[in-house]
Amino acid sequence: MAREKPQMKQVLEHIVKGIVKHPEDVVVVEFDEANSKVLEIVVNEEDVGQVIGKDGRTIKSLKVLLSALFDVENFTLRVVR
Amino acid sequence: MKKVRISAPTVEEALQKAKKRFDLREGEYEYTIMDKGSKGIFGLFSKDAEIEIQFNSNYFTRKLEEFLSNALSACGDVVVKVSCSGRRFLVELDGSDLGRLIGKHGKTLAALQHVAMIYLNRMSDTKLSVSVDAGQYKKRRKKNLEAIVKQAIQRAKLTKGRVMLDPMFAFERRMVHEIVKRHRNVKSYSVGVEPYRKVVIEYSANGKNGEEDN
Repeated sequence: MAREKPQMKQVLEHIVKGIVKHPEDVVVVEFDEANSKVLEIVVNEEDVGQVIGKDGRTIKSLKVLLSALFDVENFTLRVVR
Repeated sequence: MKKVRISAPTVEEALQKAKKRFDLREGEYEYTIMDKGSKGIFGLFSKDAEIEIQFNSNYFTRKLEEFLSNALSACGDVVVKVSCSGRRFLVELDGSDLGRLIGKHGKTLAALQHVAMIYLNRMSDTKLSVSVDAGQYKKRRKKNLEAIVKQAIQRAKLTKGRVMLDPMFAFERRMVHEIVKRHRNVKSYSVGVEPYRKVVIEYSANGKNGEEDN
């Protein structure tokens, strides 16, 4: 049975939900801005730090992971509270 | 790794409540009855039962496996296998497209490990560590690194000078320091800033080691 390939947005949402304190508050919004894709991660105020990580390590890891999984380079991740 | 107290009218109900809330399965927990509770008289003086649930490693192993399989489902067929000894979890990835999961210089693997680490520690009360490997990449890299370091040590001794290695990740630099420590008359230290921080291996006649930093 061939499973449908999940979208970038869904994968990002799944991972972010796994690492925050308030998974129920996580929303990922995808849109285009100046010819590049933007994924906006909305999280609880308490979790903003966790998602970005020390020296931005976590958000960088997310970016590396997503670009590897979906073969895309040209996109931006943004954390919003 | 994780303890939770739950109360409900009866012990059985408390157990069910816990299983539902944490997606717990048989064999993934032990529990202690803190308070059996009582029905009281005609509903008066009734007291809830309280139990303490101890999650064991089976729970964390399964949850981590599910989390990663789900995250990687966009990458074709990846098999995620998690094993655990004490507080260390080892994740082994297998599949047809491992190069993609490893990334340049293991970059993707490192990212995955970082995310897995946060996921595990978010669930656990105590600090757990996790290592992610794909198709023995890390094992092979270690062997490779050993060969490079041995060569560098020989050169340092021969020239009585210093040898600078290529930039490496923190865990790789740590491995280099550990290898150098086993040899006499050489010392090692790191210079530069991330991500170009690199190890220098230097000849030192008195055989003292340089200070280590990662």
